[in-house]
Amino acid sequence: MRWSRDAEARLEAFLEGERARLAADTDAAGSDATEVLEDLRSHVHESLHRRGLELVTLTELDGVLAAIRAEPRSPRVDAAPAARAESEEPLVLPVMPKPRLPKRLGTRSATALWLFGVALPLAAIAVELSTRMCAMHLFDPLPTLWHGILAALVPLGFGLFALQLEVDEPVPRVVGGLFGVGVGIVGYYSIVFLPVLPLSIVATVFGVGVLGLSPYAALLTALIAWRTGSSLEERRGRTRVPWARTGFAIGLLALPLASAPGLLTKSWMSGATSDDAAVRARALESLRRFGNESILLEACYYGDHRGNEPLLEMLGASGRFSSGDAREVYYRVYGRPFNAVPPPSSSLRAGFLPSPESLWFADDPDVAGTEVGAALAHVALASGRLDAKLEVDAAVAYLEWTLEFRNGDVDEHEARCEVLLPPGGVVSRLTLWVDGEEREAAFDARGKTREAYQSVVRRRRDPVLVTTSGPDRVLVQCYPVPPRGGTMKIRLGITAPLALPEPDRVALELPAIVERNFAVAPELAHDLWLFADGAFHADPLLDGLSIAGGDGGDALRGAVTDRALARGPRAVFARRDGAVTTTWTEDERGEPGWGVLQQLAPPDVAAAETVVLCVDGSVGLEAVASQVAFALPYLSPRAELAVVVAGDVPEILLPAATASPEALSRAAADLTGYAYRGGRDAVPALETALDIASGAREALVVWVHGPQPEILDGLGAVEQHLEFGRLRVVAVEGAAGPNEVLRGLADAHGVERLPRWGRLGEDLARLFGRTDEQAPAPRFARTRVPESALESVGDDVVSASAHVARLWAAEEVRRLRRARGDGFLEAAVELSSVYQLVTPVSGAVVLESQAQFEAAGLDPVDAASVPSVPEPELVLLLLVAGAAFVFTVSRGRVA
Amino acid sequence: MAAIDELFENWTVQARKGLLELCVLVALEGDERYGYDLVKSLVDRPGLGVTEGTLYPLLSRLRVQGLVRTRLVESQEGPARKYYSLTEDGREMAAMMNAHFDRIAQSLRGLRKRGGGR
Repeated sequence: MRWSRDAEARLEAFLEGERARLAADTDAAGSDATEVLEDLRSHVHESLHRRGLELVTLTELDGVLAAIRAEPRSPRVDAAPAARAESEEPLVLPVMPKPRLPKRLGTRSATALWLFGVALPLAAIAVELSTRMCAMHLFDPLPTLWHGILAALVPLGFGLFALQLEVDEPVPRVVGGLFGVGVGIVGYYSIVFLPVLPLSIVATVFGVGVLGLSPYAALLTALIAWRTGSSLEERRGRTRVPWARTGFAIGLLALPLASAPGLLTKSWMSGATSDDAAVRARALESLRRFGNESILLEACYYGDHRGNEPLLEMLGASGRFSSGDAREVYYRVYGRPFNAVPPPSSSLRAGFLPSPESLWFADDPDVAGTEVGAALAHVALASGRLDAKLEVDAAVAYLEWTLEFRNGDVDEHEARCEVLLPPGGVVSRLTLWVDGEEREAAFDARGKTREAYQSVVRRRRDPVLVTTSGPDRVLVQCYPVPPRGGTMKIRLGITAPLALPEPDRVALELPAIVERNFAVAPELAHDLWLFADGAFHADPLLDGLSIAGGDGGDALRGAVTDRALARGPRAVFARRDGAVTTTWTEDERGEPGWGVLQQLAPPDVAAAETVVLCVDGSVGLEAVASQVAFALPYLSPRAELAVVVAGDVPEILLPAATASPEALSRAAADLTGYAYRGGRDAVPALETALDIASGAREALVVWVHGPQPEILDGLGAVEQHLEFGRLRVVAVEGAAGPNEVLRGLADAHGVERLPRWGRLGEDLARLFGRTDEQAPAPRFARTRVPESALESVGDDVVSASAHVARLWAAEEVRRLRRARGDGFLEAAVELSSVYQLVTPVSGAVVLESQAQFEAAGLDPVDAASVPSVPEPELVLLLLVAGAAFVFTVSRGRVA
Repeated sequence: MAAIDELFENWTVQARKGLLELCVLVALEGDERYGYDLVKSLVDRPGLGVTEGTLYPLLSRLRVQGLVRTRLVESQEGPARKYYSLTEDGREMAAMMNAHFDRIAQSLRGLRKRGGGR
């Protein structure tokens, strides 16, 4: 359809007239004038098109325009359009241009928004999540799940807005709001990334700075799109993109708000390490109530090398602290060691956000160290087997604990654990399986064995090291547990004295893993096979165990979960001949003609006139407070009792007073009603307890403790109290776990551990009962004497195994250390080495080859010289044979 | 007589103004409609006495108010064609206006029957 020039001019004039009319017409208010004019133009075109015209002349056009311009027709007056004269002109413009579509403007902005507001931010998020590059080198832009969600709103909001720009429709409020939120978020990130902008620009040359520039690209494109959207909305009669400004404000504030919990936690963590006690107490209380555990745990594992809140971090508004500080604070807040919880990983980040450290810190920071240290996510205990032989009359046992570790990671790792031995126990054998063959350990000076271990660890070969880590505790280290499902198997031989609850009964407290850097499945159980040359007690009997009787003794077998072993009670009982009071062991390793004599000795705990009960006020003790209260009435009525609780400061619940029923009742009520919270420092409370005890003539401090993985204050004052050897402390484990205070007091005089045979209340009652002179408890004392000394002992001497000599040697090492005479260390090391024992001065190390032993100046023990437990199959065979023999004999008698 | 005509003329203008929005919304209650056809059908409707010059500003205002939505469809034969349809708000408004108009009409019929309401 072609147009005459006049017709074209007439239409434009008409539209201009309409524009003026619309501006003046109140009825047209609220309409979009530009849109109306475009509509009218289209209407004219359509009308003319429907007339089938080849040429649009003034006549034809005026007919159409007249109908449009006509006044509304009155029902009574139907005005006809006036005919108009016109002059025909030659045709110049053949075709009228189509009306411009707003779509094109929107499409350009939408395309840019798709590219820089959707695709680029998505790529930036994906790259950061998969590499955590920015988190490790600058700051963490996605420290929490909320940050991740908010960052994801950017491409979402921008994508929806881009779609909206492509259709000629008003922007819905939700889309406008989400778009605004996205602009706010990229705006915030643009501020945060500002200091590294020059670096990003430079890095673009190398192709790695594009992601750093992505907030700016997204922001710029979004602002242009916002302007385009506003312009389109104006054409629709709106003043702006709906809700976009509100969304922008929300987006700008959302990230700092998401960071608030972490920021507050960090601020409180700084306060919790303050020198000001009041500040420290307030900060700890806030952390206990509102702290974010995962942030604290990350600081425990990885320190505070990166910020949680980018902007404030860069401004230095959040505090700095080491992983050591964080571990201390973690204990004070939650009352458990940090490594009792798996390392922070994706699970701690509530789903899908990987922690930067899980990607970048493949190395174990505590490898070959002297602590169990940080837990590993992919190393686990695969199996455990505990065999033991009990010599009930000699009250000695030898146990072998075989542990196998599995590593599911792609890197090699070290398995570390602290093992609680039976009271008075000592490691007397260490075996490592190398290529399926057993290799025995070398026992030598502690430093020498550790040095050999570290040297081999550095070369990534197979060693295992055992050293003591406190009273009745050893640290076991195995490296490397091979990656990708590989296993490492070791065996720990333990010689231990059996306790004598009564002269005709022995008790063996089984060993347990109290701290570890590997995982243990809740259902993992250790296979137990305990053989006694006497009868086991069926009551009490640990869950999962059963007794198989025989002529030569009893076998106790079954499976006990690692969790049950760690939590206790874990004692087994057997009968013995109460008439046996003396045993003799030829000492093959000592001077010829000498041996070790074992004789029943006076009670292990003498009568006490004053008992100072010192109870840990940590949260772990809350569950057993009633059991402590239960045991109080068992105190001798003649004794005095004082009660101290280790709170944030020591609290004396009961000053020293006669243990009258009223005083005991009040103390019991105070103990059960006490607010056990977080993790408390036992040292100040112990000092207070020892202060009270030092004022009494015969005093005993009974320290009921839980785990305390950090020594928060020095032990100096406690050691001073104990230095003179007059005061005694009995440590009673109320809740399982590592205790550094106990470890620190390993060499102190007068500190001993109460064997745990049953529930805490029962064990404490047994201890309190012994404060009365009427209830002595027997125990064996071991001395090394020449064989000629036996003549003066009498005829009732029972022969015992070499384990008694090992126990004597272990005790002798302790005596030598305490005496600290000339050359004591050399003598103690020599003794430990000769008797193949792990003592405070010695260690046991297994290396992969003889060459490594030689290089380290160590001699592995002869396989023929190590103790062993008879194989269960052999024991079974003996039992069956014994039973058959008895049966045959009895049948013969009947016949 | 001329005075009466003028008064009547003014009244019809006011009546149209009040009803025109309802007419447009009712016309769109079915499927979406091509703007040209919609306008033509309303212009040709006897008694409404409406022109294109009045309808297009009204349609624009209704779209701005969110009562109708538009969609452009490219055409081989000329300018892009604009199609109109009701939004949810528009449907709700049409229903309310219809109901209100029915009540007015019912009242008026009642008054007529009773001869002025007496």
